[in-house]
Amino acid sequence: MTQTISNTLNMMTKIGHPAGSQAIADMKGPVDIAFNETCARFNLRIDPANLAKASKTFGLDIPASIHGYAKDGGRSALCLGPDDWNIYGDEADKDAIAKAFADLYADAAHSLSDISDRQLSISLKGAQVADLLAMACPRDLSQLAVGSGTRTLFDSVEVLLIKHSDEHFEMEVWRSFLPHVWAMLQLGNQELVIDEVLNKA
Amino acid sequence: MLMIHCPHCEETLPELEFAYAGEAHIDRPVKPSDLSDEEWRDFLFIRSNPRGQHFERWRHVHGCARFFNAVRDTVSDQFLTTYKSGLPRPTEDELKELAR
Repeated sequence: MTQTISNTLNMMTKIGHPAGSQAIADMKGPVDIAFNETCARFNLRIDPANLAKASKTFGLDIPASIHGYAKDGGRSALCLGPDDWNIYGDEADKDAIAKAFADLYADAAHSLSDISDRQLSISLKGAQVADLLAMACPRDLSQLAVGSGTRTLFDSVEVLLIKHSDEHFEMEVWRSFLPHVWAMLQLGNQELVIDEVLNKA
Repeated sequence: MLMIHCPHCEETLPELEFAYAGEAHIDRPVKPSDLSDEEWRDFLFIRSNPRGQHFERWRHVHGCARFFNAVRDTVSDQFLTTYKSGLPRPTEDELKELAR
């Protein structure tokens, strides 16, 4: 999968686009920016009345309220809308999760879509992570509770944000938007470096 | 930037996350084949386009992705209220109270 990430980031080079020379490997700066390990990722649409059954199938209490996030061991779940969830597991468990929900189908109609490969997860860590995100996210992220997540925008690209702590966010970006978002994050990180230098002077 | 209250997320969030989706409270005819051409045209295309309070649909497309209804003043761009789809439209008294 690491190979796939580098393919995505170097997409412009591979198709011979002039912007290809801008593919960025050096993300140094006040905020640590790195890819999270790939995982099994599903979108779940189910009647909220049947959520308890889905939780039992998944082996984790799936949060019922929008922005709710739950994590236990390798499994986690994020509530995006009134009947819309993303659920995550270890990559090796992908087939087992799909099978478990297929067995649930007779009992509780739902839709489970495998979106493991649709988006990539980026970890953002550092004291200035909120400043970095504020550069391109219209939402006031200080209002987002620690341990919750949301779908929002980052420089007009739809992303998922999970706030693990005030200094640790996780961002999920669709693969095709990644080169742009990656470049924006790099630019923002560089601007924070400049701020540091100016503040010292 | 407009700040719009999403009745599903129960939060007031920036306009950029939302998309306008036309006039609200327009029911699709139960039996379209019974309609005359004029009635079908009116259903598809004819809208009230008021100056002042407008009942309209919005979608929190880059958030919870749900559609909901809103009452917006087309002159001042002020949102008087937002409410979930399927609920009755606010009465005139309620709107007067909200406009104050």
